[in-house]
Amino acid sequence: METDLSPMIGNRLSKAQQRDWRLLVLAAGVALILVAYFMPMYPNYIASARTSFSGGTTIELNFPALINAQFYTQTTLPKEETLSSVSIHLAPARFMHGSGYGWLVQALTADNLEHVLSFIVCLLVPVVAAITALTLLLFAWTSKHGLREGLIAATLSLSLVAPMGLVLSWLHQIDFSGLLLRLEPSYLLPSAGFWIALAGTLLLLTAMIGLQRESERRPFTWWALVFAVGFVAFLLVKTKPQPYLEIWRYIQDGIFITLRIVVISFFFILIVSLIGGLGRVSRSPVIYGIASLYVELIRGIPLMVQLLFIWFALPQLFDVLGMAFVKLSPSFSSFGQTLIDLRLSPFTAAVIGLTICYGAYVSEIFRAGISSIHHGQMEAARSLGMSYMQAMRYIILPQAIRVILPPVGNEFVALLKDSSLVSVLAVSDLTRRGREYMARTFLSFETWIMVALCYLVLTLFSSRVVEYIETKTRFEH
Amino acid sequence: MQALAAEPRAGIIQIRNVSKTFEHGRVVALDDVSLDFFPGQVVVIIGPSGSGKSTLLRCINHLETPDSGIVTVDGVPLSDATNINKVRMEVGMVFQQFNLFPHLTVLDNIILAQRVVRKRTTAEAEAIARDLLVKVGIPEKAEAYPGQISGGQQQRVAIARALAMQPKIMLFDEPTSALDPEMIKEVLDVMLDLARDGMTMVVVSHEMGFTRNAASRVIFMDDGQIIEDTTPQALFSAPKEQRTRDFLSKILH
Repeated sequence: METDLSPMIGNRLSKAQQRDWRLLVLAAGVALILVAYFMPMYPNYIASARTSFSGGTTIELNFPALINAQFYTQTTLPKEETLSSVSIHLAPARFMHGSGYGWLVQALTADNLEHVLSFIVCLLVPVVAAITALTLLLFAWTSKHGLREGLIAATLSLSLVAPMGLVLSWLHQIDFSGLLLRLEPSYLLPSAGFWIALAGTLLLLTAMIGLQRESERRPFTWWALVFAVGFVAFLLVKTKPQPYLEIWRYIQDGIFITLRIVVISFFFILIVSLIGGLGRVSRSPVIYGIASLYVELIRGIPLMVQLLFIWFALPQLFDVLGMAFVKLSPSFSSFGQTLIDLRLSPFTAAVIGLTICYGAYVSEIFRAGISSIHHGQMEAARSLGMSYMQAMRYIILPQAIRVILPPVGNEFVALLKDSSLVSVLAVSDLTRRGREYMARTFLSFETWIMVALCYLVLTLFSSRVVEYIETKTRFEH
Repeated sequence: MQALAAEPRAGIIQIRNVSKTFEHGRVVALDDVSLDFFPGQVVVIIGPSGSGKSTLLRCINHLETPDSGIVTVDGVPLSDATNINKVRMEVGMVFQQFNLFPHLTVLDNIILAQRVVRKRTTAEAEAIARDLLVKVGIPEKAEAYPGQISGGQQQRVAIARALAMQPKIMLFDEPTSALDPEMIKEVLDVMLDLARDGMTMVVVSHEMGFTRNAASRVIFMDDGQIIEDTTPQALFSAPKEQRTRDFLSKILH
């Protein structure tokens, strides 16, 4: 076997390299997917369905409105009526009715796109992967730069998700047609179009795993892990709706509360730590002292204790202070009364607690970032007549930001996890919702696996974003 | 001490009994130094490392605060200058390590301080910056970042950046020491032009060619004190002090 040692990236490919097995397998995969999407994915398609309710209401649905039917019947089902019967008219799948492209065209032209969005995305991923792979191939065979690194990374990631996308589109079909319309599962066994497309995606994956060795970049993108974890959660909900779907419904508003707390706190944390960081590099002993005292004290107290203090002890402190003001003089009594009446909402207390605690940690990151800039930069700025604050703003901070961003991003991920502690303050965050559900049902394993998966998707996703920012700041110079 | 200090004009920089120590008094950088610099003079300060040359220079724009003594720049005593930044506008400084701002283009390096300190409009500042880039011979590098140009070019940008503030005095702290040999000339040429234009310059440097050609006065320092203060011709042909002779024999080979 002949070996060609010249790199396939950046150079025109030699004749032997153009016939590389990985490129040929990739081409085969692309062809299979693009052709298979013309073929029926299932032997039959539902031409129309007639749903009758106990009160006499009947709803007739025609393809492709059926796809929206689950949502439709859930939300617009006549009151005080129950589903009585569904009669379905099946027809053999032809091109526009039941092939991959047919589904896409029909679904994309449907009135309420948002109800079928997840289905479209699942169905589109293999086609997008195939088109990206095709672009990669065309460049490899014709351009003088050979393989493109960016395209390799993109195609690899898409190839990892493509088979999942196909399988998920099938699960959607079962949802729409099987669960709702009570179609026999045997009618929904995929036919040739589906299996050929699936084989095509697997060929893509095989070829791309081989091809990524040509790239200097880190081959495996951890984005795939985010998808995989999300996929596991999705499978649990799909295959065992009892109790996972119920748990998901119960905890999902907790996710939004967790995210809201984290995003709002993070905003304030950035402000506090900018001030704290500047204080820690200040030459004024008073400012330096105050900033250092804050950082040292707060970092020495567990976050849990700080939260409990703010929630339980602070109101008492306000009461005592308020009473003192009221007694001090009548002119202060209204202010004193305001203090006594002041009650933090659990949400505010959580944001304050997280801000104070993480402000101390992130202050240290800001300090380290600012000190990492060579002192000559400050001297040059000052020698030009800039004030200390002008030099900070125009010279030091813009450079420090590049050093600061990655570790601050990591703190964001840590904050996301530590935010689970605010559940002790009666904030209905993700953790708290999980605890409530478990208290009602005693399904500890199922509840906490769902809660853990939710946190994992959030943290893994943020870690990837942080990583992306890191590479951006590293290469720009 | 030489007669140069007794010039009739008032010194644009007056240094009176300035002392400075580092590391809690263990290292003496300046030991009761007094001298004047006059408008239009090009003064080169030489001396062994650790003799206090750079510290003296940095006291002039208050990057170092003297432990005792007074530095007066253009009639303003720095110790009671309410706005040190006003004084610094009049005193340009060029550093050994260039200290360009790496996150800004060459043009923005020269524009920034004009805008935020001199309060010029961007268009005004840019016109001045482009003129200065022509003057230092690299107009084509305006859009480059400091990391993309050579050391000599960076130092010329640093000179342009200081000149953009239209200072009355320019300080050079070993401007060619960090440069590769083939780049020293391009920087010295710019400095020579500046000297011919009549700029008041205080230069810490061991470039003897520049000293001979451009300097009107040479100061030899050792151990934080001024040992000799004379003309280049007098210093090279007939150094008075033994320490000066020892030092010159070392650097002139």
